[in-house]
Amino acid sequence: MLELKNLRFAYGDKTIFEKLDLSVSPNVVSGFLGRNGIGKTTLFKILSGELDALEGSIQWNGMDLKSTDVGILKTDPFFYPYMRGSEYLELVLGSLNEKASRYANLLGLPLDELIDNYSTGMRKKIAFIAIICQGRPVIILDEPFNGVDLEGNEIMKAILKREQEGRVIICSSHILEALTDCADNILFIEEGYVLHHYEKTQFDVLRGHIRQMIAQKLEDIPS
Amino acid sequence: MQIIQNLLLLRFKQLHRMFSETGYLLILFVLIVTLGLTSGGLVYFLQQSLSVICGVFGFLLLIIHYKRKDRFFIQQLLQRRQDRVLLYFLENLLGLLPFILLFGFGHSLMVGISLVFLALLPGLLDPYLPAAKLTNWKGRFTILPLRWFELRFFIETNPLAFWFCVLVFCLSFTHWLVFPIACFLLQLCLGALFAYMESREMIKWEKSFVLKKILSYFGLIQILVLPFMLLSMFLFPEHWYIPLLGELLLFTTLILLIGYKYKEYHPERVILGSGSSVIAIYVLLMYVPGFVIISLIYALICYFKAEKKMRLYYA
Repeated sequence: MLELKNLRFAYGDKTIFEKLDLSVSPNVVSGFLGRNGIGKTTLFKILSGELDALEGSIQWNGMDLKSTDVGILKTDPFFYPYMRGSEYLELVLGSLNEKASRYANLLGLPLDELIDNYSTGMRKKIAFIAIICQGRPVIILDEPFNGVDLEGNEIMKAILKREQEGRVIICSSHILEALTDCADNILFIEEGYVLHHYEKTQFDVLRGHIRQMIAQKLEDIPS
Repeated sequence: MQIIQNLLLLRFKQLHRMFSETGYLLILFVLIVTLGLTSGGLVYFLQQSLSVICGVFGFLLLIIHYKRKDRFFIQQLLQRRQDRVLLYFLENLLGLLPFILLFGFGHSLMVGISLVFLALLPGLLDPYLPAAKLTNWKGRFTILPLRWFELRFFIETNPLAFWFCVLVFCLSFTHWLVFPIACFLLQLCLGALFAYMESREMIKWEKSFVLKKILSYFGLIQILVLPFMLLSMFLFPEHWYIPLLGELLLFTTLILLIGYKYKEYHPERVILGSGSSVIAIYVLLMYVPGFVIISLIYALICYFKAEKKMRLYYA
């Protein structure tokens, strides 16, 4: 179980969240949903150790979470220039194993080509494979489906389902359908970091809630 | 250990691929020219004391380490701190090797040995060096209007490079050489300003779009450059033409960078514009006596092609 207790973070004077308590269960995919700029990526950066929380603690199975427990797929993954796909996987995984090769093949990635020549979707796919095959217990996927083709999207969701055993998988996306397809529960973050938790059976309620929110906004558009 | 080995091997592969793409002959030519131009300064530097040499190298290593974009990536790859220290040490050692050999066998063995130890410094200080992008501070430089977003974005993302440039310009009253050095530093920094392409919607096209852009930026950098140029000309009248030459090189660089960026422009894709090694080579060529004309001609070719391309998309 991944547990966040009494977490606080701010950019200068702007508080992103305070007294944040949250538990994320393993063996399922947990979706994170919220408008742009609400602080999802900030929370992910704190979980991965890239940023330090100003207060509070993060625990994985009762122990302090180490940055090396976490594998994170960022919205804009880092790649060295002049590096081939196969070299990237070798670098992250130690060696190019059979599982990674199979996933790359499934997702149609030319591993012999330089990553500089990859499209946005292909970059997402190779970083996704690396994170999944790294075998870390906490996986964070920040908008993994952006820029990925339809077939790739479906394969990635299937891989997630297959790899969720024994791990916490957190996935954020602005594509509601993609998230409801792959997640077992969704955490909807509203203004002021108010959290609403929806289980799979309540996804229709979530859709209704979002539709209602959007309808209210649409009424404000001047005619 | 396997990851460290892979990372070091990758460095050699990257170099080989980069050199192959640019052309080994061209790289060799630029290397010879650069060495020829800087040999005077190098000889002067070699004669300095141990503390000065180590101070300069230590400062440079820490700055380079601070600016590394892969620190978080490496932190994720290598779990143990000792492994990260070892990797940074080996990388710095490889980078410093020519200098270690030069000092160790040519001038002072003590300096050579000190440089080996100095290679350890960035790795050891890594946890105490906050990376610009890892802090919880999101800076905003609101003095500049948004229409100069490239310049504003550059200052916000590269405050160290910008303020270092300003500092060197401010020191131009000390020696006539400081002003051209500041101009050279500014030339190096300017590349980052035009590295990324705007989306189609962000461009407000008008007639002679590229020329207006060049003049606008040239005018803008004059706020920084002009007072120091006049000061340098006033204080060192025997070298009055040097600051003017610095201005000419800055103007040529702007034509080159902006021309190249919009020559390569594609409205639907975010691609790197002026960050290429081609630009770096043409900028270095400006410092070879007489070769500035080649850079100027190439800059003008880029400019005309850029105007043509922008007319094609927007006119």
